[in-house]
Amino acid sequence: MQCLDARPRLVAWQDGELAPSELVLLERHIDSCSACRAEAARLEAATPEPFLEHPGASRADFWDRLDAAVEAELERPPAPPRVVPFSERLGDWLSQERRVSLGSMVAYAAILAAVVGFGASTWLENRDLRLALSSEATMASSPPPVTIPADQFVPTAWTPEPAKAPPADPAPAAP
Amino acid sequence: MPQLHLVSRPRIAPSDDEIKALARTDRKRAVSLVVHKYRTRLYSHALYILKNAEGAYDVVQEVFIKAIREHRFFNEDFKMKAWLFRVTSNLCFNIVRNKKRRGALLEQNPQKEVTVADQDTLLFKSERQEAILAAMDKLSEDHSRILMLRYYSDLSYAEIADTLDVKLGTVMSRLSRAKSKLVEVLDDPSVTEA
Repeated sequence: MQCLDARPRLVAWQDGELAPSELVLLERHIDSCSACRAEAARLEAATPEPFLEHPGASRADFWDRLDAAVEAELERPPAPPRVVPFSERLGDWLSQERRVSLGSMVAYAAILAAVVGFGASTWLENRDLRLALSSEATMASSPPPVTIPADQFVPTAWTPEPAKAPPADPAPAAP
Repeated sequence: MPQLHLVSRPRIAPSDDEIKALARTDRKRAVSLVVHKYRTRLYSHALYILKNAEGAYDVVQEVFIKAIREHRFFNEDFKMKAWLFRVTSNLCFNIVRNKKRRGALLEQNPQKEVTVADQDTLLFKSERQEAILAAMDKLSEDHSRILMLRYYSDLSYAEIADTLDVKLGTVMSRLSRAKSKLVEVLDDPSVTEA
């Protein structure tokens, strides 16, 4: 074990909270490293110790007020379940302490927006190409034009429609 | 199911599991046992943070009222000790934060600063220990909170992890950093982290 690994473990070692596997390695290092021994001594000297006694708490009646409050609370009829409005729940959610910081959330949101934006723009750019390809494919898959051999071609009789006579002019009015 | 040894076994306080088992049949008695088991430790914890006996007492009272109203409190998987210390810490640090905020507003009309030496309620083994508590006020809230849980309230690393809702490795590294910072502040009182 090196000093870099030993230093963060000194406090846990002094508190008796180090895993046995690490304990052996750390103690071996401390035996051979005077700098870490000195650091351990400095940390040890700054260990807080609980106060000896709180004079008030030893009084016989000290906890009477607490006991009375607890007793009253136990006697109190249970409150009906309150329907928490959405705005209040949202407020609580926004104000609670989170493991993910606000900065990280903004960064995640930005990355998500970039990915979605890129995907959408690519989709729009390729839309025309996809449409063109799909129309070509439609033409390719349509049935071939029907051709009639020349010997089987029978022209149908065609009679032109008689020309319609123009409507007669109305008779001029008598003067 | 844990065995009940509330009468026959000569013990100072029943375990949390025993209290939970009792709560199924006698919730009132279970609450009383929880209060008797934890009230002094929670009071001391609050007193270290607030340095005010009356305020600490009020906080402890509020914590137990909240515990009674918490429906999951006696559930088998509920970590009642961690919950009690977490709620106590949160309430106390809220008070401290509000005081600081008010103090900032009243900066133009400063009041007498209350120091550890003024508190006749805290009896320490040595002046060094008084200096250590005073130095903790200069640390960040995270550092001061974890040091108090470990050294004043004597919680194990696993219990601290439950109380702060962090991983065990985080407890180890944060305590290490907190203690290094404490040494720094003790060596040079002008250093401040808070």
